[in-house]
Formats: sequence, C-alpha cells, structure tokens
Amino acid sequence: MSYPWWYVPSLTSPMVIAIVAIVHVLVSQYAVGGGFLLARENRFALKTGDSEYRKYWKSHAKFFILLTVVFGAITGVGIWWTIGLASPLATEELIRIFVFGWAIEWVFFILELVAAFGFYYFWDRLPKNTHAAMGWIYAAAAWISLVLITGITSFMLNSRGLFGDWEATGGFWYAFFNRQFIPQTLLRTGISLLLATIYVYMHITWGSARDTLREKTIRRMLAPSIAGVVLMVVGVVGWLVFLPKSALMMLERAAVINVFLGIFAASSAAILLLIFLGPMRAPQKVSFTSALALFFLAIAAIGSSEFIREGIRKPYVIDQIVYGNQVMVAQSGSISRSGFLNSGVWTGQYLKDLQDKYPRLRIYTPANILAGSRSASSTPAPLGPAGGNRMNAVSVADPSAHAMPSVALLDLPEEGSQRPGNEDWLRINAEDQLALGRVIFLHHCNDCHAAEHGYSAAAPQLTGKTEEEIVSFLKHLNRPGYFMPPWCGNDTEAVLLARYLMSIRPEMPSNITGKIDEADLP
Amino acid sequence: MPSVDIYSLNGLPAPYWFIQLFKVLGFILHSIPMHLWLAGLPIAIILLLIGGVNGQMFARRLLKQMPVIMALGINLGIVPLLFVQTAYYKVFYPSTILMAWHWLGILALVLPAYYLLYLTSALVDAGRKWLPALSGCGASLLLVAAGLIFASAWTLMASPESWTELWRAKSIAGAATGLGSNWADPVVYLRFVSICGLALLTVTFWLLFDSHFLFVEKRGGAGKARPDFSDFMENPRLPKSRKKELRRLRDAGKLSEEEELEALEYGYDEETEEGDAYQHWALRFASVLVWFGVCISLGSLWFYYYKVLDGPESVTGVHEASMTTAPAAPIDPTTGEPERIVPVWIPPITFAGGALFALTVILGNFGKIQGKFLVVLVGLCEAVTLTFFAITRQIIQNEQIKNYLDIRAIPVQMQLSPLLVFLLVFLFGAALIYWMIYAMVKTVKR
Repeated sequence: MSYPWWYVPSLTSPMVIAIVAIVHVLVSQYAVGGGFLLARENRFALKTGDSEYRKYWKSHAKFFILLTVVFGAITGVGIWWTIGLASPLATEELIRIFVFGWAIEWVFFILELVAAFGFYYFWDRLPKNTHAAMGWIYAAAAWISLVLITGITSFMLNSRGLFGDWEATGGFWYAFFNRQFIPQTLLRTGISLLLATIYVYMHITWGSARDTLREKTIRRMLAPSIAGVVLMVVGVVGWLVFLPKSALMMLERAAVINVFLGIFAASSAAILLLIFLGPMRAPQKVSFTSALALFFLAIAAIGSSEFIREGIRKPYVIDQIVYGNQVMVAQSGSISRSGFLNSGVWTGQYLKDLQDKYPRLRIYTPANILAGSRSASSTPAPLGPAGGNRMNAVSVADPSAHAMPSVALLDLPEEGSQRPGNEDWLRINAEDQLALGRVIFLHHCNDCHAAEHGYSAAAPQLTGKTEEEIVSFLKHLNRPGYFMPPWCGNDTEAVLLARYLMSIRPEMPSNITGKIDEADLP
Repeated sequence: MPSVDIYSLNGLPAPYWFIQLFKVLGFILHSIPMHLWLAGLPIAIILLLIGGVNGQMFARRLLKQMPVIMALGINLGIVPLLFVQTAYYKVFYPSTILMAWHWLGILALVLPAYYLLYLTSALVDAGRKWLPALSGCGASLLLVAAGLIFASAWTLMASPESWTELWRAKSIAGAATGLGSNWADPVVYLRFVSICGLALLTVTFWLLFDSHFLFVEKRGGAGKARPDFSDFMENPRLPKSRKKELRRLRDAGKLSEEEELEALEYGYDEETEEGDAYQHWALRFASVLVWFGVCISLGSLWFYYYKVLDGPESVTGVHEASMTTAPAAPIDPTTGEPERIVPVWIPPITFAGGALFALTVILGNFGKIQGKFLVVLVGLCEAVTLTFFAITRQIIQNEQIKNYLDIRAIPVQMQLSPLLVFLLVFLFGAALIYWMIYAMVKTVKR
C-alpha cells in the first residue's frame, strides 16, 4: 500500500511479468542445459579426437553465447525490473528475505560469464584440460544459479520449510529450503536439459552439417533428453505432493488452470512422441521443420507451466505473506478497519487532493492513523441499501476527531437530500464517488482483473447482478472464491466500488431470454 | 509525500556500512565498462572513420572488445541495483513506477545495442570500416539514450518531493500510468554530463592500459619474424572472413598487390617500432582526452555541488526551471546558515583526484614518467577519482532523501549466516575468476 499502482490498460501489469518471464525462461533454461551439453560434448570430442564434432560444438557455443549472454541476461534483468514495477511489495519482501541468495547468485553469474567467454574465445588456444575445465565451470555455475533462483521462486508457492517454518523462525535457510525447493529444482533441471537438446536439434538441422555429423549429434542428445524427461516426471510428482492445499484445490477448480494443464500435458506428450519418432527411431530424418515443431511445443509447455505456476498461487503472490493485490496478509485486517483508501500512501494522497474540492474533508495522516482506525472502528458503519442510510467513516481521522462532530467522506443519499441540524455532513457528488470507486478498483482488483475489457475483465463477470449483490460479494470476497484476497476496505468503500462496477458493467445481452419468474417456481 | 517511518520497516539484513560498501564498490566496478561504452564507443567510431593508423588501431581493438565489456558492465550492475533495492526500496520503487515505461525502455534500448555491438565487432574483424561505424553509431545512440533514462531515474529517486506532482500529472484514478518523466529537470542532464566527463577519464586510462599492456602482449614481443608463407590464406592471424573476401577478389582478378601484401603481413607487420608508435600516439591522444574529461567532469560536478545543491540556485535557479521544488535546507545551529548537503571535505578530494589524473598523463606526454609505471599511476588516479565520486554520490543521495527516508537510522535485522556464505562464495568466485583469467593471459602470452 505504500507504492503507486502501475496501471497497464487491458493487459494488467502482472501480465507484463508473465510475458517477460516466459521469454526469459525459454533462454535461461537453455543457458543451464546448454552449458552442460557444451561441457559434455566438448569432453567427448576431445576424448575421441573427433575434430569435426568439436568444430560443430564451437559453432554451437557461438550461437549459445549470442543467445544466452545477450538475450538471456537482458530479459533476466527485465524480469527483475518488471516484478519491481508490478509487484513492488512482494519484491521488497523477497529481497529482504533472500538478499544474500541473490548476491550469491550474482557471483555465479560472473563466473558463468568469464567461463563462457574463456570457453568460446579461447577454444583452440587454451590447453585442452583447462578448456574442458572452463566448460564444466560454466555448467556448474549455471546450474547453481538455477538452484539459487529456484529456492526463491519456490518459496513464493509454498512458504513452509523442510526443516522448520520461516514464519516462525524468520531465517533465510528455512525460507530457502522450502517444501517446493527440491521438486522444482528437479523439474527445472529436467526442463533445462530437454529444452537444450531441442535447441541443438534446431541448430544442427539449420546448418549445413554433413549427414553423419547431424545423425551423430542427434543421437548424442538422446541420453540428456531422457534424463531431462525423468527429472521432469519426478519433479512434477514432487511438485504435486508438496503443493499447498489451496493450490491443489485450484488445480481442480479453476477452469483456466485446467485448460493450461491440458495444454501442458498435451504439448509434453507431443514432445515425447516426436522425440521417440525422430531422434530415437530415425535420427537421420530429423529436419529443421520437425525441430522447430518441437521448439513450438516447448514454448507451449513452458508458457502453460509458467501460467499454472503463477495462477495456483492465488490469492497470494508470496504464500501466506503477500496477497496478489499488494497487501501484506498480516495487515489486511487493520487496513480494512482503517479504510483501504486511507491506508495507502498514494490512495491517501488521492483523498488529500479531494480536499481542494471538499475543504471539510478530513483524512488520516501517519501520525494519527491509529487514532483514526480506533475512531472508525468504534463508530458503527451501518450499510443500507443503495441510496439508503448515511455511510460512515472513510475519513474521520485526526486526533481531535474524537471530540468533533463526525465528518464523513461521502454522503450516499442522493442529490438534494438535506440533513437539517447536521451541517457537518459532506456531500461527494456522484462523479467523484465513481472516481473513488475506480481508485479502489485499480488498487484492490487490477492486479488480476482489467476493468471493462482485457485480461479477466471484472465488469462482464458482474452482468445481471444488482448493486446490493455486488456489495455483498465484495464484502465476502474470499468466501465464494478463496483464491481472491479478502476484502480490504470498509463498508463504504464496498459501496463505492460496487457503484463504479455497476457503471461499467455491460447490460445483459439481448439474445439472452427466458427470464425466470419467481411466480413460476414451485 | 509523508516521510517513511523507519520503525515500520523490516530492518536491514546487514549493517548500514556493509550495504553502503557493496553498493559503492558495485557502482565503481559497473562504472568502468559503462564508461567505456558511453564515451569509448563514439570515440572509437570517430577514430575508425577519420583517425590515422594508430587511431584506427585503437578503434578496432576497442570495438572488438566491446561485446565482452558490455557483458561485464551489465552483470556488474546487478550488485549496486540489488543493494539499492535492499535499503532504498522506499524511494526506488515509487520513482521507477512513476516512470515505468521509460525504465523498461532502457532494456528495449540496451538489447538491440548489445547485438549491434556484436555485429560491429564482427564487421571490424572482417576488415570493414563504414559498416561497423554505422552499426557502432546505432549502438552508441541507443546506449546514450539508455544512460539518459538512468540519469533521469536516479535523479527522480533522489527527489521524493517531486513525486506527487508527477503522479498527479500522469495517473488515472490514482494509479500511475508509468508515463511520467522528469526531463524538465536540468539536474538529469547535469548528472549525465558529469558521468560522460568521468567516462572520458576512464577511456583515457583504458587507452593507455590497452597500448602498454594488452597490445604489446598480443604482439608476442618485439622483432618476431613472420613465418615463411607466400599465400595469405596461410596467414593464421588474418581473420577468416577477410580471407574469404580476398579470395573472392583474387578469383575475380580484382585483388590489388597492395591488398595482397597487406594480407600477407597482417598481424606481423608491426615490429617494435610500430608498437612504440602506437604507445606514443596513445599517450598524445590521452593527454588531449584527459583535458576534456577533467574539464567536463569536474566542471559539472563543481556546478552541481556548489551551485545546485549548496548554492543560491538550489532554490531560485536550477530547480525553479524544473518541476522539482527544493526542500528548505535545515539551519545549522552553529553557523546559523543553511546546512550543506555536500560535506566540505568531499569536493576538494574529488577535484584533487581529477587534477592528479591530468597531471600524470601530461607528465607522461612530456616523457617525465614512462612505460607501464605511468599506466599504473594513471590507474591509481582513475581508481581514486572513481572511488571518491562514488562515495560523494552516495553521501549526497543519502542527504537528499534524508527528510523522506533516513537510511542510517533503519534498524538492523542481521542475516549473519547467509552473509558469511556470500562472503565465502565471493572469495571463492574471485579466486576461480583469477585462475581463469590467468589461464587466458598465459595463453595469449604464449
């Protein structure tokens, strides 16, 4: 609540993370698996004295460096920056918990870089053993960096530790060795190996390598492919076993997750089938087109798995620590009591700016927020039907408010209603009420929902509902769907948001007929 | 914006000094390659096009080194950014979110620039001139634009008082569109110009280092005779792509004698005398570059320290022209004057480092100091200048945001065991990197 919300129309800002992440993973996983293949095949070529085979791997190393060192590095920074923009609170928490994990990973990045350049630029110049050693240093450093980042990302899905809970201890190691750590490490290692072999299929079939060299290379990739598949299967099983209960239920419940699960399973099966038919049974027939088909299937598998990974974490960004809408789990109750708008630095600033128009509006300041929340919670906030009773309490805030007549942020009774004898009441016009509702929507809901159009747009999902129904739905946000964060506003804010949603909600489509008349019911 | 209550924060995972140390150290390490692509790249392009033999030699060498320099620069930038996010997150995230699309734009600029550098390097390797100049020019423009956005982000981060206005101007229903920018703030350009000045000093150092250490080593010593071959295709030092091109010309009967001779001698044509000539040229060129570097960097820093931060212009001049509003400086109770943002002792040391830098190069040009000893001295001056600049920059940053977020006062929640593991891994990694570089250097020497 202390950071501005980054509004990305239609797409929503977290989807920017997803796009960058999928692109990055396609290259970074190759950087790990490819490093292992380069070291292994270089050693094999040296051992067998096959200079042609070694020459091919030099050309592959060039392709590898151009892709991983440049594109992989920049998109890696891209993920880091994008999560900071779209999920600043979660990023802040992750960095606080894992700063030295990231610092250690950086050391391995530098090792990777020096080893990769030494390995490629000094290919025929270094003594053979030294050259081979550099290849293995690269492979080890790349895999360790995978292990380190997996310790961090797996914590986001399951914050329970293998040896004790981070929540109770607060220790780095408890967070790092979480229950998802080993399964996800195996899974990602497996994906890296399999993906790297697909890159090799593409590379060798694209160039003008002789048939024997092509066949030999493709045959040599079989063992890493199979090892990758085995690791993936073990990893997926472990991943399922150690999923938090909420995530397990989500696998069954959310239709979109089911679709992506289907895509993941189908594309993985197709990859296995193609590998069986091509590299395993007829390596001489593997063409660039079939390799490209494998690559597109890999994109489908990785893209869907990344989506599943993000989707099943809901309502959290970090399991049991940060909700998707950038609210700390531990603070959601107090935010709700203080008022959602008041509790955020920037939403609070929005209220402050409203003071220009409504000079009598009072708002919280950090110094009196406690007093404000006490005041707010001690004053009942009756919620009536729309246009009904006075709504209390977004504002009443400074310490002196206890002794002063209550001044509300908004007065829900419609235009023209007069309250003789209670001149302290303040009227916020309908336009500003909608604007406030939109502020609440963007800061509370836009993490997962576009407004009218776009990714998981909220408005079309509310067609046919009345304002009362929407208010009731909002106030119990995580009951019908536990994958939603709890409502973090007060009753007034629920009405404001409901009114905004009503204003953008599309009408019932004209072709929908057959209205149920209550009289027809038995 | 109301100031941040530091007791509401989670606490620093390491002591204040440790975070500052690694942030400053990381920035210094990142600065060297960053300076080389910022100032070295345009200089190399100009020299490639209009330079003499030695100028072109330097240009080709630097352009070929550039992809590795770039890779190192990006990776070395991770550490300062990591520690910014560890301690300064309350200023880092809001400022970058307000200008989110610009911030992400850096990556959109750097990615093609990086590939253009590889292309430039390959074209230089192929013996081309105009094409690498063109692609290098494209890379340089992209990197300058990225540098300006960085300067803009760092300026915005250090001026929380300007955020509210920016947010009001570029938000929809209180949510930032990410289209904000502070291009109207002259401090952005001042910051960028000072970095460019320092970058010229780093290029000066690199020129001397390359000519006195890397160049000589690569030639394999003086007087090495060319092996006996009569066909340039047998010359192992001639790049393959060039061989291909020349063979094509020969087959077409268009290869001139001069070109053939040049190809035969390629890589062996420079004996000690030519090596010396390159070093002399490097020294002369360095003594010109250093003046530009010292004047631009120290001039802009002087203006920033004394006119913008601690001068009358801080309120009425520079800041007035911008969207920022300089906060009222607190009064020093001992002097009754506004407190200085820049500690008194910092600017003279920074300026002394720069002046010493210039003096050393000039003495070298007059032959008073010579050879590798001169380069070591220049290297020390470069280290002193960069270190003090990085420290100054850090102190000023802390001072500027102090009223909003007092970093020094944030309590520490020490993560001792991960910190120790990091230090051990750091030492181990440094040893392994040393071994790899040693193996490569030994190979080059051999």
